[in-house]
Amino acid sequence: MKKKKAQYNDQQILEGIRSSDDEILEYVYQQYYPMIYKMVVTNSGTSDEARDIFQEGIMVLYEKFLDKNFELTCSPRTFLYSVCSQTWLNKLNRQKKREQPGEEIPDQPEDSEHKKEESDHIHFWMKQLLQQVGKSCRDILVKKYYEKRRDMEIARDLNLSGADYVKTQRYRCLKQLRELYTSMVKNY
Amino acid sequence: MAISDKDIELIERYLLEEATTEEKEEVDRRIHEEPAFSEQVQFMRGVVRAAENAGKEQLRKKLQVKHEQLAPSLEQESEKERDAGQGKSVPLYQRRWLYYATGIAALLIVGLFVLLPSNNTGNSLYNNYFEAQPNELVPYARGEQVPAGFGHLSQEEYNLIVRAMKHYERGNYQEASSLFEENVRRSAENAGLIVYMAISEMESGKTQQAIENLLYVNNLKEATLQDEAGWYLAMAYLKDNQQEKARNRLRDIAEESQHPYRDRASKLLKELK
Repeated sequence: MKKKKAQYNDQQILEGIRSSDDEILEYVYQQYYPMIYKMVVTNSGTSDEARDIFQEGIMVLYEKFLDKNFELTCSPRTFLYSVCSQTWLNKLNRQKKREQPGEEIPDQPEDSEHKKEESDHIHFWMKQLLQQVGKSCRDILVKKYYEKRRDMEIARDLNLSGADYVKTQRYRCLKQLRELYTSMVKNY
Repeated sequence: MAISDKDIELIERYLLEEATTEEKEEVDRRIHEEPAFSEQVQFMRGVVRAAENAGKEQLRKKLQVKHEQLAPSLEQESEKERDAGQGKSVPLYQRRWLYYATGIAALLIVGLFVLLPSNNTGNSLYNNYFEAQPNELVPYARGEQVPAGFGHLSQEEYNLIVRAMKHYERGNYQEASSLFEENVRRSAENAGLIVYMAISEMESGKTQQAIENLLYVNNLKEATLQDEAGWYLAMAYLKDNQQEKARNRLRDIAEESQHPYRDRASKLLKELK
């Protein structure tokens, strides 16, 4: 298969992953997947494991890109290789440890466990409710809270009239979600 | 009590880590003092997490579609290249696999390179050929004692080396290079660590220091990761656009029949001409 010529710089690649741009994801696959595949399958892994490790690496790269406290000081390719090889080594180490049981996993403090349960409970409902509020609401919330886009960018990406409109719509969505959540909790 | 749009905006900024110190203090205080406000924060935290998950799911689905479209042929190509000359696979932790894995990765990159225009500078060649050397030197696990091979280090020094290596493995080369520089002095017994320090320096823009450190290891009579030091020295010269020095170094590697980077050096030499 003919590979695409290098045509994107690091910033374009990261932005492309951020917006799940079709062409950039294809480019990323063609450029980066073979090295990760080789690394995994030559080290006792399967093709499915190579896929999981690669996709996980892309997610980590993306989340690091969104993290304001993190500065990428190398190319995405180098970063991806480091993350994937480390993830794979950890996985192999875990497999090894499983074969030699005995290591205790420390308990979490009770308070944080309680808060986690509470937040998991809301999260469980919210996941269901997000499917009920309509695609336009979901798109706005995902762009704001996952892609960390500014309202102006959201308006541009979703072809909406402007930042104010995006903000108003988002608050409407939140209120709608709140009503659905309240009634769901009541009826449960 | 109804929550105003202003409060929603404030909570949004708080959850997205965009709030000022004063705003954060206000939210933290009100969480303790106002049950309705606290409940709204919990609710919105749930929305943010659900939106994050939905976003991740979207990206995963798109990646999966791309995987199904592209992976079979990419994997087939890799297998062909592997069968054509890279030999059988060996278990992890045995040093030789690294040569094969990085060799194959470099071959793939060379394959890509052939399709690109030929006016490459040293820097773009560096970007195409550079792979960070995986950590095969510093083992670590919870409660790890200073392992064999590091007997010249105290427990405290070893712990700092582990921290540096963790940064290195995460691609935080700036932090890694600073920690290595503070804790690794030039001596033959530290040769392997000096190579990782130099790679970190190279990737964080301290190319001249990287060259000096790699030259030190390269010129030792015998040292850990000495072959790697030679290869990364050529890489450092490339990055620094010292093409003649890079060429000389690559020629030395290509002429050594047992050198693990021999093939890569030969290919790279051709690209440099």
